[in-house]
Amino acid sequence: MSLAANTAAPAMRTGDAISFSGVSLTYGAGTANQVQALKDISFDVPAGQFVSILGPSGCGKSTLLRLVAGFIQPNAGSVTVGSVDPLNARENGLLGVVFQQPVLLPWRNVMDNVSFLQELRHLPKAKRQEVAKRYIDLVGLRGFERHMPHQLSGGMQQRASIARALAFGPSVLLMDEPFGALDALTRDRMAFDLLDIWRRDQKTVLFVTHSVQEAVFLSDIVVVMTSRPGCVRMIRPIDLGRPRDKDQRLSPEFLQHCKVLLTELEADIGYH
Amino acid sequence: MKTYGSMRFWRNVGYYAPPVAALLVFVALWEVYTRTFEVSVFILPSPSRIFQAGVNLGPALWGHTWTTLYEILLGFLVGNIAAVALAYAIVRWHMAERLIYPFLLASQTIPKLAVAPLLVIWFGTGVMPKILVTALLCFFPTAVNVVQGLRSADPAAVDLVRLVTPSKFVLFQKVQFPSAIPFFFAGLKISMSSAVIGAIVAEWVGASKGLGYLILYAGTSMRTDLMFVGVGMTVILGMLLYAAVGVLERAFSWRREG
Repeated sequence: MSLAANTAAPAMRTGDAISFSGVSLTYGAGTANQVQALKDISFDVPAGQFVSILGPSGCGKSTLLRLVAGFIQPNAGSVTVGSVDPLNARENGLLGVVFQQPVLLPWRNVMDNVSFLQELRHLPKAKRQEVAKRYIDLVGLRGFERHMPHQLSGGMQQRASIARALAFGPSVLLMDEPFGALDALTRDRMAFDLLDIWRRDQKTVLFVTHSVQEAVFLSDIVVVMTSRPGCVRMIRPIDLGRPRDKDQRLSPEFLQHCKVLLTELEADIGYH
Repeated sequence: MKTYGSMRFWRNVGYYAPPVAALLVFVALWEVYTRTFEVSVFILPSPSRIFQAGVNLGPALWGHTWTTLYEILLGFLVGNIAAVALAYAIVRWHMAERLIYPFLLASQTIPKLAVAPLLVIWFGTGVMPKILVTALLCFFPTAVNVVQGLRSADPAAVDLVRLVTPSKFVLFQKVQFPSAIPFFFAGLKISMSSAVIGAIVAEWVGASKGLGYLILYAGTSMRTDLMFVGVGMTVILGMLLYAAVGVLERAFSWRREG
């Protein structure tokens, strides 16, 4: 189920950044209460593209990200990141993760949080702070370097966490409902800013969300997942062109994409 | 017009005046009560009588205080180093938890006063058995709190570190240990009060100096005023040490805020 055939390949494409082939995962396999979380998942995420996984709660979206990060292993099938397995990718520093919560360390200021992962890699202090500074500026937190996390709003905390993921210099960014804990207005603003950041710091992004509009607005490709067991129901390229602006969210093409995706989602949850 | 410094001074006065006043009123009532009803010094000596007994003791009182302070601090140090090491082992290895926990619990149910003579038989009447009893009494609160603190680390932060390095030590150093610091200080405060009790209890068996020895000696020789000197000095020592831990906490800990 490769996407190569039905997506307009961007100029900087250099192959598939992430590839799932026949991935199945069962929790508690062999016990009385085993749950099949993922069933026969196959799709590719082309390098440099923004791909969203859209699905209802509990459909295994986050599990998929945890597989890519190598936190868990599939029972069947394989996941590769840039042609190596997730554990190797992790060792090579290819992966960056943004969680639903900012997960900032409360005893460190913004600068020390953003440079945290580079510190774990023993990068010299001056060097890692220089990199961190660049990404703090990029996410719009200039002037807040010495602030502690509790002094920032939820949106600013999440910006810091995005800066931390980017400062690590990964080629693949995994985002697990990063704006899920924010209010609707902040959420829209963050989505817009994320596109701006992504445009300037182009990486492969695998973005998990349950918001149809967010998925359409951000993505090159949307993968719709259904639940119990989680499988891929639809893979839809979003041919809206780039850069995208706010007004596009009311265009007929945009709404058409939303309608198609929503129909797929609703068919799954049995909503009429 | 007041400067900022003088405003702070008066605010501090306002903050500390009520408890100090309450203490003075308590002592004054005590004094008045013992004088008015002519209470026997064997039953309840007046504060002035106790103070006089302390002054008469002179340098010997400082000697006893110093001995006890020394035992408290060393026992506290040994006990808490052991506590942090045990807590680390418990969190790091599941088997360690199952092996160590029964001993931890047992160590708390051992009647320390009863086993103190045994420690004298094993280690003599020197400072060693006192340090051991103190350490035994004060390590538990720290160990329990640090275990809880190490486990309080955000699982997502743990994932974040795992993404970069598989090292368990780095995880401990950068996430688990800092997460545990507020818990560590909460444990230290309880531990410090226990350490004071530990040192006094230890001195009840086979000691020839220290505040515990002074209290015991005063009790057996019907010197209630001296006994109060010992008890009072212990209380002052305990409060100062507790405050010292508070100062350390303010200097080195962080708090979850907002």
